[in-house]
Amino acid sequence: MVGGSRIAFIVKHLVLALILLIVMFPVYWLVSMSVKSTRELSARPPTMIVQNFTLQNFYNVLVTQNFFQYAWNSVQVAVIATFIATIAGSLCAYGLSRFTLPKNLNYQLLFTVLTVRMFPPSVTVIPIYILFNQQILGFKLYDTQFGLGLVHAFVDVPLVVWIMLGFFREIPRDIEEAALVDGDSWLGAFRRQILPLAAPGLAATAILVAISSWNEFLFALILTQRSQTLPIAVAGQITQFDILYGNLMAGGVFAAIPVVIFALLVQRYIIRGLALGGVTG
Amino acid sequence: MRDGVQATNAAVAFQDVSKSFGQVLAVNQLNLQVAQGEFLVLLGPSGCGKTTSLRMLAGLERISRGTIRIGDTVVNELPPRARNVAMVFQSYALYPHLSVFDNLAYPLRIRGAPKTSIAPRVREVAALLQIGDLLERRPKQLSGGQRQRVALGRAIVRHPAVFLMDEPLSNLDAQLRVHTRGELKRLQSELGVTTIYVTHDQAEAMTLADRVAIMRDGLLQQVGPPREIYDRPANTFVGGFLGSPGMNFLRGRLRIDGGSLAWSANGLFLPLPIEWTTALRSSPAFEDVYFGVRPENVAILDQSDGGSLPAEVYVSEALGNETLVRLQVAGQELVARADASYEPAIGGHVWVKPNLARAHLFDARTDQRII
Repeated sequence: MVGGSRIAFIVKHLVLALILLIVMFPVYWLVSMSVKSTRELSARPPTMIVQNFTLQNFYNVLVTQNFFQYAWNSVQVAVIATFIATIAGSLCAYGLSRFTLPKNLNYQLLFTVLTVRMFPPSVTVIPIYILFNQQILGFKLYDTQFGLGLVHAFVDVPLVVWIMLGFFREIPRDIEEAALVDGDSWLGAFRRQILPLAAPGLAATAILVAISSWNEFLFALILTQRSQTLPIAVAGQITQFDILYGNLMAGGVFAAIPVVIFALLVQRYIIRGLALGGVTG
Repeated sequence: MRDGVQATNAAVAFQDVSKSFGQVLAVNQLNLQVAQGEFLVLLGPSGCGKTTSLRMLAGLERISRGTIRIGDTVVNELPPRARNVAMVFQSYALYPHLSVFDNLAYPLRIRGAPKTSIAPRVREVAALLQIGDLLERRPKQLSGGQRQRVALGRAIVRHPAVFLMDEPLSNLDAQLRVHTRGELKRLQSELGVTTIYVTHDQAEAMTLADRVAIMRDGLLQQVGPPREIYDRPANTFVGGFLGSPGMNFLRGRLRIDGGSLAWSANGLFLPLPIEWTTALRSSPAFEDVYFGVRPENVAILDQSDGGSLPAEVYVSEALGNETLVRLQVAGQELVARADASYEPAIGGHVWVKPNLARAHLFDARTDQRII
């Protein structure tokens, strides 16, 4: 700690602790409710600390309702979305970072890409629903993991383009020009020089896309039926007769675990990626 | 402005090459030929088109008009990889994620050299540049001088037809730069590879070049051996750009009076050799000329002498090995290079005597040299 008195140190940490408390309390509440019995869940006032620990809620969602199937659907959708969005978005960003188009088209394109994200999903979801119910080349995209993954990719391409643009711009042009003179083609220089240098950024954006797809609700709700993803299954615990709080919380915990693990594994890259630095030198 | 080298044995030839960026003409009708094994330095202030010319030769910039040949091949439409040139960038452009070894091996691998030949060749080049013990390091772990050597090594490793160097020494500190400059000269003469070297540093140009090509505003000003362009600059720009400080230019007019020729300004007269009138006959520039003389060719005298002008000392700068004396002559500035022991008083009145054997006249309207 450079400078600052002892009091400042204490105040800073108190503020941090307070913020942490506010942020973490819902998480604690989610986890603690997921292991409470139905009786304890309806206790008034609610118990802050679990009195009767039970895994019944987890048994309900994982075994009885087979949430693993929904998780598998979510994984497929997220992988498809990440794959498409990362490839399309980073190629687009690379092009925009390296070639100047006439008439300020670079800027126009970037802005146009961003407008995709400005639409509220509820505006686009009905047209997409209608489109997905059309037979295209003998296939319908409605209620398929591929269809939902495609929509998630569309939604997240702007994110990839904007983050990767920053990364590619930071890589000195000299490096790929050196590769070109040394005997590489444009694509070879991209693959052998630019991609390795942009890898932290790619990892960060891929994770952001995967998480955003994993959590997405509205498109998944409207565009799937049998191939539902986890968020829809979790929401399904709110029935017309009853709200199954225990199942809701257990499903929530189950859905959050992969995201948390993923984030812990790659937090280094995410921080580095979002800081848009560290690739030069 | 063509030079004497024949097109047939030129390693590199620019023919009427122009490059425009939108409305800006970066290189204007460049004609230049570089002989096999020659060390040519492209010299000029920043934005003069020298780097653009180099990049067009490397294939990193499209050519707007004209042709560039490497050997007998027109390379206008060839991608950089097909041109067999190697380039050293100002930033060195080492591959940050590769070790020194892999940096050096990259051009060989990419061109599909047999695996067994790569390691020996990399070690050979590393030994030549004395970076043999750095092969496992990443560029980040190297000093500026070491990075520079690796960049050089990467250029040497695959026997290119031409070396292109874009201000390779400008990121080194002054001492290392002078040292590396000498090594570069030695290396190039040992390897005998045609080299085109871009710099804005006239000392680098003078010391390294077999021939110097000076550019300004996209136009080639003069090409020739360093000594020649130093002694006989084609125009006032070249005279002023080379040398530090550059050539002095005193504006005035010429007077022919009977059998004598003189430069005059502000009522002062400097007699000039009568032989000069022969050359002047073809040029109608009597009214407005520059008298050009380098600082080392101006003697400072205490008393008037036949061919001297009265001057006032404006300031003197002792550099240790010599003293630069700034003088006012006929209301214009003139710098003279004097002995280190010379200590004139500021405001003192002296006489300056230019060495007419090494002086020139320039047409003040066109800036071109007449004598």
